[in-house]
Amino acid sequence: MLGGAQLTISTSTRAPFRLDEAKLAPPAAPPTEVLRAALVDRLLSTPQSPLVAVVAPAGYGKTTLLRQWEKEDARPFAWVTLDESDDDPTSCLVYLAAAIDSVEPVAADVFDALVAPDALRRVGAPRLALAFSSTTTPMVLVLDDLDRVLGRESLDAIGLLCDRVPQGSTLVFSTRTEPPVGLARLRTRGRLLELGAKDLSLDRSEASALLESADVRLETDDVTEIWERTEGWAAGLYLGALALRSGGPTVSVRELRGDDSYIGDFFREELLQRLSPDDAEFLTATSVLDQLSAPLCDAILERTDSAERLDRLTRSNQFVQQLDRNRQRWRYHTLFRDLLTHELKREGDERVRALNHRAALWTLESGDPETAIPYAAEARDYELLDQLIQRAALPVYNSGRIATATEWLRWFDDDRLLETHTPVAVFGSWGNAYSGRPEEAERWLRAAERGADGYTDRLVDRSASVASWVAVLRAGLCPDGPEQMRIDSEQALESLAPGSMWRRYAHLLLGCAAGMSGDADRAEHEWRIALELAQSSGADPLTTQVIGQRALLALERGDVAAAREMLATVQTLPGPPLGSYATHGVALAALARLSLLEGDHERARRELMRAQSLRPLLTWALPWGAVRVRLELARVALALLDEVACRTLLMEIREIQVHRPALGVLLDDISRLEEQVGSLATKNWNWAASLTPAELRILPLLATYLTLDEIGERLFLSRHTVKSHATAIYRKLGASSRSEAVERAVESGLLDDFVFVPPVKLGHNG
Amino acid sequence: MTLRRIAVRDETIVEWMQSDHDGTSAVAKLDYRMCGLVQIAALIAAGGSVPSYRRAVELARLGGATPDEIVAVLAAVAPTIGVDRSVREAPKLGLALGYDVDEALDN
Repeated sequence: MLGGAQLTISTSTRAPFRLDEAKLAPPAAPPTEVLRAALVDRLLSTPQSPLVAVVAPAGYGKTTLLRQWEKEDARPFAWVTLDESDDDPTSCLVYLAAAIDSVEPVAADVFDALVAPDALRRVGAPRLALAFSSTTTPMVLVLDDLDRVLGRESLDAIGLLCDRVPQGSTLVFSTRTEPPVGLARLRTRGRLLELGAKDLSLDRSEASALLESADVRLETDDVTEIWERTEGWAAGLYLGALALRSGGPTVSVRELRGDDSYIGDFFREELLQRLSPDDAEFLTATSVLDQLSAPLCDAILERTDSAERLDRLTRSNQFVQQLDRNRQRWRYHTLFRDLLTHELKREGDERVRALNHRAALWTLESGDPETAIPYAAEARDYELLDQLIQRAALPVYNSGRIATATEWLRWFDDDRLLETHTPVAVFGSWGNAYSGRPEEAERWLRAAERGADGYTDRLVDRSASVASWVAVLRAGLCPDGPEQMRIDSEQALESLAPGSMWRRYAHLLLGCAAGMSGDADRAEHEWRIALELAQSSGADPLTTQVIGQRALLALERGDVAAAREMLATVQTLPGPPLGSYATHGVALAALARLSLLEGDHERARRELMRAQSLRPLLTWALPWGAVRVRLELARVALALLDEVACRTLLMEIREIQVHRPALGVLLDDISRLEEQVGSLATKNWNWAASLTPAELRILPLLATYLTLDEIGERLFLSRHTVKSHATAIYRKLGASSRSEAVERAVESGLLDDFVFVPPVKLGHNG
Repeated sequence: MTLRRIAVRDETIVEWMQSDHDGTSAVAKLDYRMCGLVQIAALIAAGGSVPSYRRAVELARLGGATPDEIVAVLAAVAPTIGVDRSVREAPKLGLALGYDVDEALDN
């Protein structure tokens, strides 16, 4: 918690993680500010523009304008202040959903769909866009500081909203630079109102009002001069006013045009050097903080007067913004913070690291390891980061913010660091395995193995040795076959602490090893234990996986009723929809097989297609799951006389065998299936089921506004490769255009029908 | 007998061959792998489009052909059709396999 101010959980939403309410409202208005009446009138008089882009450099008063607009507009405002954490698309979309929910309730299944990071493009983002387009309460949805978001997936999801603004509502971007959300095409359709720096520049009377609000009284000619010199740039005028108030500038204000090469000098010479040493030190040192609180500032500066100082600074300086009504949290205007940070760096890296280190320790001791992590990273304290990631990684993974966890792990992406921080290597390997990156999963496993003996720091689960964590990981990646998988799982269970979160995984993997060795009774026994442990900890992705495995086992012994009951449970579990995680594959395969046994071929075909989208994630990194799921789906395809689907799945199994040849009894299953495929007399060509993993990755992106070039950038492919894959997709789906391919994909179940949300037809502006 | 009927352009056989869009009918008596590889060889010789290569590659792979075996067709046909033609067709075959040769050469 930051300085005693709680990060509030909004009870009106089902957000999967704690939301910072300060992000869902604009900063509090300062005691005095210049009214932008003319601009507000302009915004009020053009309600038919569903999109408004306020694009201007820092310090032009974008947020101030929007705040004033909110006071005058009858419609409710849904506000999100974006920051770097919204590079994680799950975080970004959950905040958007929470903002919309503050005006009109958003269904729980929309929030659930946002928790599955691998399905965000296919399911989560389109569902949110549909939810927004379906709202009936006209609202203004504001995305402030959009320039701070650089994550492509987040920006693509925001771009989806642009075509889905419901009638009577407005979507507003406030940003320093034109956001890459497809504004060009919206501009050509006349749906966009743009306000730029020229519009936002203060006119002479507004400049005069700003100077008065800063207690600067000048002669008329002087006001005109300073206004002309700054060209109406609000921040420049305000900086000049502060300088004049503190004794007058020695450097001419002519340089204040927002040009970085001059503003830094002006800031240091005219402002910082004129403040009291205490105030200057306070402002500079606390610039390391994303959000300020009195106790946190006291901690990093080792003083006790921060509360009084922050209060005073807020009253006298509009660059210090209060975030809450309780006066417990503040932040600096981004331009101001940039300037302060620049000054702090001049004091040397050691000082910057020391301040960040204190901030990390304080936020950790306050019970907020997740917030401490960026500070520990800036402090370059890898030992502290290791401990923090151990605490925060699993909760962050389970809340769907894989991108956030991936970013943390990237700081360690160096073999030397991985070998000395084995817990991080373990988490990273699992993350790569479940995200369909087998080579990376293997590399991080090897680093973990090399470093295990030398790691002596304490573990968050209180296990005596990190070797037990590595044993679970090695069992999961199963490089040496089911017998070694069993040994690794048993060794892990012998040494993991009683309450360790890894115990449920060890039991799951012990069950899988038993299954691959033909010991169904042992498999069932271990999976029962895994399920109990998973349910008691609320670990839903694992719960679905274990139930799926048990259901398949039940079907194999002919107990259809038991399988039906288990799979009914899976479909009612809270959380992301089935088909969102790689771990859902076995449950989908079981559902397909059950449908077949119940004679419902149509449902079996649907489940088969639903499972297809998980194939890119089910790689040789997790061979026991990847092969098992494909075998089951191939059997279903065979029963449906879908030879192409069956052969495609067998082909992928052969590719997995290249890396993982030791597959126990599954090898017999594979041989039997190959014989059966060869003897198929009837051809039932369902080429849709033969989409390759590469084509399956591209398919959801065909449903967006992205060009083929842009799709290539997202997936690190050349345009030629994307075009080749896209052409193959059209052929297999029987389509002759991109939109037709998307329609066919929705019809066949390859894409969720939420992805095909028709753009809102404008009744008010063509 | 099938060979003679093809040789005289028997209408029934022609109709059958033309309707056999994937070339895997009983008349051909080849499995998917062999059909796919043979079609790839024909495309190299005639100069095919990427979508056509793609189709043939899919057939071959469904039949168990590995990417290495598919690429080896370029070498296998070169003595018959000329190295130059194999060289010219290699990038298209690469794209059909999901690999952009031109881009890789730029890196």
